[in-house]
Amino acid sequence: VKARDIGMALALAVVGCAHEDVSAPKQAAAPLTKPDSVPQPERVVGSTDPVTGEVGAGVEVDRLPPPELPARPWKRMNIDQLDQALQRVSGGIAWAIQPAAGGKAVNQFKVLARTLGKPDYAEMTEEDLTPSSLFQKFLLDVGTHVCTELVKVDWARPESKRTFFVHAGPKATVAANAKDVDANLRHLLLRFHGVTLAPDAPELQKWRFLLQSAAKTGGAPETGWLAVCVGLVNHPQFYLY
Amino acid sequence: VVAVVAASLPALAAQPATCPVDSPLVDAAQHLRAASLDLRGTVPAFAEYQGLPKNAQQVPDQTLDAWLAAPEFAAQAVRRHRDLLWNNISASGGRFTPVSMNLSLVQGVWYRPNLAPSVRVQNVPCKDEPATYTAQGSIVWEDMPDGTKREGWVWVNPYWAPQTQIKVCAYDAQDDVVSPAGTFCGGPASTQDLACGCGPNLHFCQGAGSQAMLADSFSEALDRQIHALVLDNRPYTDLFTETVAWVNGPIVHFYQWQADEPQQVRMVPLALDPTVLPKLEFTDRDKWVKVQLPPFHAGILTSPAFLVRFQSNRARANRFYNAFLCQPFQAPVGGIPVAGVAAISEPDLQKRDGCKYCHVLLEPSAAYWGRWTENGGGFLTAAEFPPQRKDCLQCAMTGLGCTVDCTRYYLTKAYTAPEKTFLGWLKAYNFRLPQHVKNVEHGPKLLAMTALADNRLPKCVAWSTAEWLLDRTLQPEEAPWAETLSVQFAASNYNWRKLVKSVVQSDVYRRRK
Repeated sequence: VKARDIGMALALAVVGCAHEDVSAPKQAAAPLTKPDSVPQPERVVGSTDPVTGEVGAGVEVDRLPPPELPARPWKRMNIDQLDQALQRVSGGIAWAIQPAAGGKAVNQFKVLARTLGKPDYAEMTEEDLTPSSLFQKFLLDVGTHVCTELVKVDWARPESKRTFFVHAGPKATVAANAKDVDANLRHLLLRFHGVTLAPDAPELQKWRFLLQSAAKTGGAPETGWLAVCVGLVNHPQFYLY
Repeated sequence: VVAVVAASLPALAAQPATCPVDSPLVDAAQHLRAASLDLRGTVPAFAEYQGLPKNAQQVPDQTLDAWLAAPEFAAQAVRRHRDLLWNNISASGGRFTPVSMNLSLVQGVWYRPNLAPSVRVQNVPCKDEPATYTAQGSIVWEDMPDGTKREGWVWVNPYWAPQTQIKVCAYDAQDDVVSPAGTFCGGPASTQDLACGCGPNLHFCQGAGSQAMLADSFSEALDRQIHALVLDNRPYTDLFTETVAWVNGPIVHFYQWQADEPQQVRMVPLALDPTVLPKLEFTDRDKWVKVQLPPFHAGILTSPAFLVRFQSNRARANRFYNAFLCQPFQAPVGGIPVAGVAAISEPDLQKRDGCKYCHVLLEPSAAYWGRWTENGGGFLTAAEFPPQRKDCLQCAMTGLGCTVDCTRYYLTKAYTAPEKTFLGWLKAYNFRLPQHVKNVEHGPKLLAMTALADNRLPKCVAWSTAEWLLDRTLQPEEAPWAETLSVQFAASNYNWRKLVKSVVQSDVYRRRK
């Protein structure tokens, strides 16, 4: 986009000069200057972002925007995928709640399937896969439920069975265990989002910040990790693919 | 804790935005995640991310092959095909048997409310005490102060829970298969014979959700057909040509005990040979057995779930055209409304203004199901139901000798002059052109094979499979790619797994926007 804007600006500038005085003798080429010192042409269309670039050195611009290659749009997980994905990342913890009347805990994805847009093929034949506010509400509910359980039980699991506290324990903090915390965050981002990050990736900062701020607000490191877990589940990179 | 978490979440938003940038191609981990969700319905295990080869650009070939061969992919295929076939027939659950044979539980006793007035004067259950019998074995009835006549109850082990005993009114609990008067108590005349009850273990009646279980079983039977085809890696065309079905306890029970009753959803004349059915009890809900069907079957297109979900022949053809030929029936702009009264009086929809744009194709297409009963799933054999029957013609001309077969399956009334030509003919022959007669006689299998031969079916399957995985409609400029997919699909002997794999490995799939 920037290259196109630069091209547009340069083209307008050149055409404008020619119209002003076509018979004027040609002047010597102006010395190369930084964009800051060159009078900027009036914006006709396009972005209001500052235009930067080397002028006079023959900046190559495309006359047409690059063709948009066919692609796959981000897809929202359907309800069954979400159910399975949560169980996979949590080591088998489902969104199961015991009915008020007692008895076996019931998977809420099954109970709320219709509400969450799963077609029954009798009255509804198309699945609603919009990440609607209703969906977000349920996602916060399910994330809180599964993560509360996960943070509670994961550390007590045998090391080989842990899915959450793999490189850092629930008491780990950014201040005291920076390396372990980073390693654990990177592990979680790969497990939950399929994102591979380098040890020094800037993307880690926001997760550290969330961990720290939630731990401080809640008064315990575990609360920070709980917030990280809920944040991972509610992040678009979890429920979109 | 929730409040703390909720309060902390905005912290994410407060940080500089790091939304993922549209990438030319996603990396191998993201490709693995997307493919895993589409092919297995879940995200990869952590070890699977770690197992990606270093410098891999996409999911390794052998990983995709393993996933496509797994039952999890067959389950995804089932879910995909539910989108196409809508195989939920729960709305018809209560219509496979007559309402009069439904048992209700009132005040701890089971009885048939619809038949109660004929024996107890009013719709009331029997007395809440054990039944008594005369020396000849007849039920003893008592005249009650409220003007009703009532008998007592007997203990019965119902077929849906044979380990338990329930109280059933003695009249309804009568267990003769054939009454002393010779009436078959599981047939159309049973309700006219007071000596007929629900048969042994109540097999002729419905209760405790047994109807819903039957409907669900028929729906699941279709799922199993899809599942087996994908798991066995058979040609996709088998979906429309195979002559097998999956049956479980409730389905077998229905065919053995209830199929002859006068249903609203007609499954008779039976489209299978009952002797091929395995020995299963109603309670064998999760035992599934594959059975061989007669050659006139056409895979999913003649499965009970498909036939009952789409109850008219036009609806059946319409679903097939939409789902597998990508050819929805749509009148051209200006095709409707019609010109006038004269135009709409044309009885042949293939010619009637406003209708002809769709029906010129829909009518001969619906005729492929011409030997399958509408509002049901029975089959009319050519031997028993020839194209034209003399008795039905006589019925049409004289109003005499009109059997149920004639009034139900043959044209016996003509409302317009052109229809008179078809009196006495099987309804599917009404306004059939000579070149379309074969549609009736060869059935839906011919429709599928024709669409295969002229490439409409593989083209549509390739196109719609790509759209399913990409979650968007294909653009006109992508037609050459879709064409390539369909050619590969045909060349692979209609291997659906390979088609799916081609799409998942394509740059289009790996390029996320």
